[in-house]
Amino acid sequence: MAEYRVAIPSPLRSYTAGAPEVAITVTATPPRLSDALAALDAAYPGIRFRMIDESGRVRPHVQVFVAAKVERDPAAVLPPEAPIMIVAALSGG
Amino acid sequence: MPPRAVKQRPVAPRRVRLLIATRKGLWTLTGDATRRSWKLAGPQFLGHIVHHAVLDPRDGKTLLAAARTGHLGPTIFRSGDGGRTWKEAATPPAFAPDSGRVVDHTFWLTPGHASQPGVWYAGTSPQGLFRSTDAGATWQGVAGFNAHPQRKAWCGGDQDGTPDGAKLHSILIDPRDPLHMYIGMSSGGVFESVDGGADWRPLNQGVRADFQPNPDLEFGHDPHCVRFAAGNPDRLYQQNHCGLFRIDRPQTRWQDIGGGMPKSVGYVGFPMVTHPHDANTAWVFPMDGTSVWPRVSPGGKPAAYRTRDGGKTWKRQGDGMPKAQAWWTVKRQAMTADAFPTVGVYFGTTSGEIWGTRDEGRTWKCLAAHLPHVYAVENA
Repeated sequence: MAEYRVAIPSPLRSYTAGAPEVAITVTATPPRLSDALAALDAAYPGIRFRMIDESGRVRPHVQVFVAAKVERDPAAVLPPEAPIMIVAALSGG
Repeated sequence: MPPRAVKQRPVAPRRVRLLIATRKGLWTLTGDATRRSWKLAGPQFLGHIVHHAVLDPRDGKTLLAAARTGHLGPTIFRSGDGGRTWKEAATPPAFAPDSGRVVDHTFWLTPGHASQPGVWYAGTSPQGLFRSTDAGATWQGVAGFNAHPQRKAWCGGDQDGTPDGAKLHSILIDPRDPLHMYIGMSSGGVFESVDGGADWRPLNQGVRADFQPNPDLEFGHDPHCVRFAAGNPDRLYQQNHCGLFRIDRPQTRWQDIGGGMPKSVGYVGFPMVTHPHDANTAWVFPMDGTSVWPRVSPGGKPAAYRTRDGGKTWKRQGDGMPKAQAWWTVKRQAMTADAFPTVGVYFGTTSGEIWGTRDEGRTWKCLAAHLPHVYAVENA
């Protein structure tokens, strides 16, 4: 079981009651990014689908950093205590 | 024998409320019983791209809004109290994980049959059909369409979609039979189901497809908007990429009803609005479909066109609108009618104006301005 802190971008804070950062617990071994996102969705229902599409891919204008490195593979194993940061990339108009 | 218009005795509503879905949120515009005084309220979901917002006529208080943002995936917001409070769908429309397809946005919402409270249908971009049985809380794909062996052939590839993505729209439920449905697809054409969506067949005979090498296609057409005639669900009107058409079932061939439009204006447009009390009356809002398809009012002189004889003739209705230099675009969901005895018609422009008429198109007035790009206007 591992705990991770996840930074939430402003477009997704409607799910976290405005919190810019939340803590989640991942029980899977080894812990993968997909497990972290599932834990995030369990705590904040609906948040995952807004950033991950039904095929499992990170949406085009969302970026995920794990330990300050871009990570778009949901199967990536999470290092212990690695901070997770979700970013709504620059886009729109 | 052609169907006759069904005569009804309309009762004047106490007010008109328009749901205005825009690229930057949802507004409501409410008019009193005189339809002279209007009040704008909103925004809700500021910053969300709201593609469609629709009231459930079966209970008069459930609203659904299809939304996304520039960054985030698509969702459906639901209100059970007329728009005061909203909740998000627990499972928005999404294709099967192994389908290789991804919903970009939900484009169209249709309440189900009167005998099926809580049932809604959604059309997506790219073309997908979804159904909810719990008033929009959860959505399931309609496998009879999404997994139909011909679905890919019907819809074509990405290059066959509209500039904003291929769409499934104009979901029509026969008021006499919940199993009888029509859908429109841009592109793909009009399709019919008689078994509640378990199977579908194309219904495009007689419709032009000038952009295809073979003009006599079974499918692959581009209907922009399809509507039932009032009181007569055997009659459908269609604004198509290549003209105006009408069909009177059980006929299977659409009739070209665009010949009465002035050549200088053409027969291209996006919305189709039918009169709520007269099956022979409908409105369109022509766009310039020449050369590179500017999709603006022809010559910068906007006007609606109305038929009162099932499409044989069309009359220009632009009094009150700018006489020149008004390069409006009105999208396919951005024009609607109220249910007053003397019908009001309303439309929104991509430049953020809402216009309306309280005398069936004889005179028009700007009811609201300075809104974002209008995607949809629905009477609620």
